[in-house]
Amino acid sequence: MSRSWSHLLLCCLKGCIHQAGCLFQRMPPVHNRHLKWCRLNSQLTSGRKHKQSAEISPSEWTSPLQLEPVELDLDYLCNPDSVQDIQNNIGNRKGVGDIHLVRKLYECYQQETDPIKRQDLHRKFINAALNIPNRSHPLAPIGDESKARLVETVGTQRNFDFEPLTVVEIGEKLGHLRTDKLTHTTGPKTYFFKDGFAKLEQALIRYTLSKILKKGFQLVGVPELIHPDIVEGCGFKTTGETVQVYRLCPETYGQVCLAGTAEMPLAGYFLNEVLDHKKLPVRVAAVSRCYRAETSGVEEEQGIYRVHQFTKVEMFGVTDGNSSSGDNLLSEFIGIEKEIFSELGLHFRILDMPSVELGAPACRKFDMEAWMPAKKFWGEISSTSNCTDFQSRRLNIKYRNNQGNLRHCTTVNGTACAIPRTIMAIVENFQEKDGTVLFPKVLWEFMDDRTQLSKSYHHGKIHWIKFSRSK
Amino acid sequence: MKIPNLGLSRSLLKFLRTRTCTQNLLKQTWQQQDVRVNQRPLTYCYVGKLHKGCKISKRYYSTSRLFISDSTAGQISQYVDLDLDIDARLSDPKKLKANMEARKIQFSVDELVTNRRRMLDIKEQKERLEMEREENAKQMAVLVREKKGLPEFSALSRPMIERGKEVKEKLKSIMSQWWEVEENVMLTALSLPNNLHPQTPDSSPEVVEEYFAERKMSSDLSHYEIMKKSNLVKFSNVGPRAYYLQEKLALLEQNLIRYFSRRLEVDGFIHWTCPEMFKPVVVEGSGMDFMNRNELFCLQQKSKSDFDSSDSSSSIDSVYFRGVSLASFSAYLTRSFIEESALPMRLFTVGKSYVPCTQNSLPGLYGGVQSTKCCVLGICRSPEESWDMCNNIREKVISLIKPFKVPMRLVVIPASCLHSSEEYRMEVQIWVPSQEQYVMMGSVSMLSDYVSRRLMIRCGENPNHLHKSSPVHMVYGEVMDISRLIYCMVEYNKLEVPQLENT
Repeated sequence: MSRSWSHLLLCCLKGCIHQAGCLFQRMPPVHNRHLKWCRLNSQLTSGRKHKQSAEISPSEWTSPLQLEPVELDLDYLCNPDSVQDIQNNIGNRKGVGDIHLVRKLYECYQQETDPIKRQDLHRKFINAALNIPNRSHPLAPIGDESKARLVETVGTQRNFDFEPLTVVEIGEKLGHLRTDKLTHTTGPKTYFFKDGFAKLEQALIRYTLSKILKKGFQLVGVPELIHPDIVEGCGFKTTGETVQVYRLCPETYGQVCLAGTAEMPLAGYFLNEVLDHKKLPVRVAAVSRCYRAETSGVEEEQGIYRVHQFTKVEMFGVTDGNSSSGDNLLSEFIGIEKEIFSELGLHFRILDMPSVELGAPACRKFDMEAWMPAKKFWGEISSTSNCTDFQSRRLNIKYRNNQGNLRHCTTVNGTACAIPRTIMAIVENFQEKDGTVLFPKVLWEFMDDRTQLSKSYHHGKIHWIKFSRSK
Repeated sequence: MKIPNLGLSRSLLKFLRTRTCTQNLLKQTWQQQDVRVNQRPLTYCYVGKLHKGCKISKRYYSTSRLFISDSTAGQISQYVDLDLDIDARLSDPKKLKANMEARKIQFSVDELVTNRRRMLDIKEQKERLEMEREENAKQMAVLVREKKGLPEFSALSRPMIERGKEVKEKLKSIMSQWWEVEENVMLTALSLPNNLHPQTPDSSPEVVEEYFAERKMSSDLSHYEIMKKSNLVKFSNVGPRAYYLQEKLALLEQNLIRYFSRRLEVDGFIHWTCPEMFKPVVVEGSGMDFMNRNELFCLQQKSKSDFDSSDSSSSIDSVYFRGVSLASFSAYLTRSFIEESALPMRLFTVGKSYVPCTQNSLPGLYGGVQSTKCCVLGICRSPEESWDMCNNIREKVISLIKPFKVPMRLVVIPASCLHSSEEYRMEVQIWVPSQEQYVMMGSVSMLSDYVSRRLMIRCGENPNHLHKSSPVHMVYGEVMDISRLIYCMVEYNKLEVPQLENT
């Protein structure tokens, strides 16, 4: 031990802190010798004897994530003729981005001769250019939410001969949902699905997968802890006051975010890939847990409408760079979603979203909103976006065209099923006067022939304890 | 962590202690303490020892969310009424010492016994002084009522006032002693592990059952080579130890989720879907150490003014990210009274589990940061009922894995490898060819009333008669680490899920 300490001190004195740290980590801590015993014992417990020689980490795990330099469309961004269009587009969206700054930095960069200053200017120019939102589709409405264009209304609004209850009231009354008194244990905007709702969640996942897998989608199991660069590459911010992305403590775990949607890891799936144009479009899907820090004080969005953790089945497509390909894939996704929600018997509408609602990456976006009869509002249950080459330029997703040239792909993503809101729509629309809920017929086989939601077996048996500490 | 005196001069030692590099080394050492080979918590006693040598704020490390001393200025209120039954645990110090020894925990039971006695003495003195203060106040009130304004009032009241002041001063002094000893005893008591079940072996694991041992095989290829060759997994650096399950395995995962869920439902387990993030109360109450960043992830805190600031006491707390685990159930059941007629209760949940990777994690995908797990909780009235429940869950786990026909064994884990919340644990381990060892796929743990006493989970006949209630006994099981099972199935080249019978 003292020999090791002497070596340690020598390393400190020489300033080799890193070396000393490594040495230190190999030493069992003095007053926790039993940990060493436990380490040995655990090896005995599971017969642990690592195959040292063969177990080498894959190179993907040992090499840090390094994105290729972003290949922005400089011909468009730096063209003086495009400035007005881009400026208008920025103004029509949320006003984020400064094309004049981009052009100014570009000009300075072009004129600068000093290599260090040139590098700095280039970095600033790229950062400013990355803030410019995607182009808007010529047919996308311009303006705020009120300018959304109604494409179609599906189903009919049910006329209730009683006052419909909210999903929270029904769920809690029947013992299938808990949303209250969770602030100190799991935090606000969290919930527990129990019994019928938990089963309904699994049924919806299996039903949705049964639909989309038949349409040529490949299911992929995705990681939910991802590098912020992947998130940013998809067009979501990971820093700032109003950021909606959770991060792990960076001091301890490095740069890791929780995926807010499977779109992020699915886009990461194609990172640095060069696809064969003959195999396009590629359609993939994922069932993932989504983590979002967003909250809302709006009355309609209480309950399970806007929550921090939820399950979603997401569709993601990659196709060639032709505008028609992206439009076709987008239409295909919308068609699938329409089929899913129609068969569930929901009353919903399809909206062509206006410029302010597009976000940074989307060129065009269609939302589906289901009628929520309890609070009488249209609640978004699906969103489908064509991001053209916005994400592919940032994540280096390319294909080789007929001529053998590399081009950036178009990416399209869409919600096949967001579980809590779909449950909300089903429960509120199919509730009966006696408080039960009839499940849509298409779900019966996935519910193991359970046709309705009634009182849970253990409902009313668990009571909250009121407690005030007295000394 | 004290730097030993190696004959160096005082000034040099002082210099070394204050150097940033030494501080960093000490911090790394502290971080190294968090290496959890067998989920052994770093107790508050160890925290105390660390503090002496480190220039690290004691307050940061000696916090608890279960016990909040009255001496703190009310920013955080105690959320649960702890029922640690300290006197019962200390009534047999020999048993407690044997427990500590078997678990290989360095802990001074005698010190705790002494402090507890001192705590009770001070409590007695405090109560006596409080009674005297009350009595004095009553007498003063009578005097004021009867004699105020009269000439003798001053003479009669003066000694009472003096006495009142004296008692007040004594109370002030005794209170500061009380808070100190109370915090010491409570934090130490909170760090005590569960008792040991009589069936828990002391030193070595016991193999209880073994199945399909004749099918054990080894592999020339490493685990990575097998996965890469199969083309069923895509390794990636989009995240820590990230990987994508290609279509076949992704479908297999969904089918396995369905398989385990349905079998448990048919056997009377109620399905829950739970949040993945937990507050420190739940983490600590479940026996985990929320200071240990190797045991569970901690989310980056947002500013207090941001987002969920509806409750000031909870918003300043960290949020822990663990996924499917004991905390999933504990979070719901915290401060719950369960009617006895509903017991025993069987619950299950399926979902993602997230565990930081440490140097002691299994290699490759078996030690992944993210996995899909199926976990169960049995809630019982008594130790006997929980023993039956434990065996029931054990049988369930074996019956679920047996159809896969892979070499597996049931092992009872020794005391030294138990988590602090466990009194007994059985593991179901499957032989993994690439590792040439058995790897844990599932487990069943008896928790007795350890968690329920910490989180106020009670049962009884009438929820209005809390004083007649008792803490529940819990049995927690990780029925299956579905992700590990998948990798195992790839190695055995068996990608079919057994048929669901009678469902």
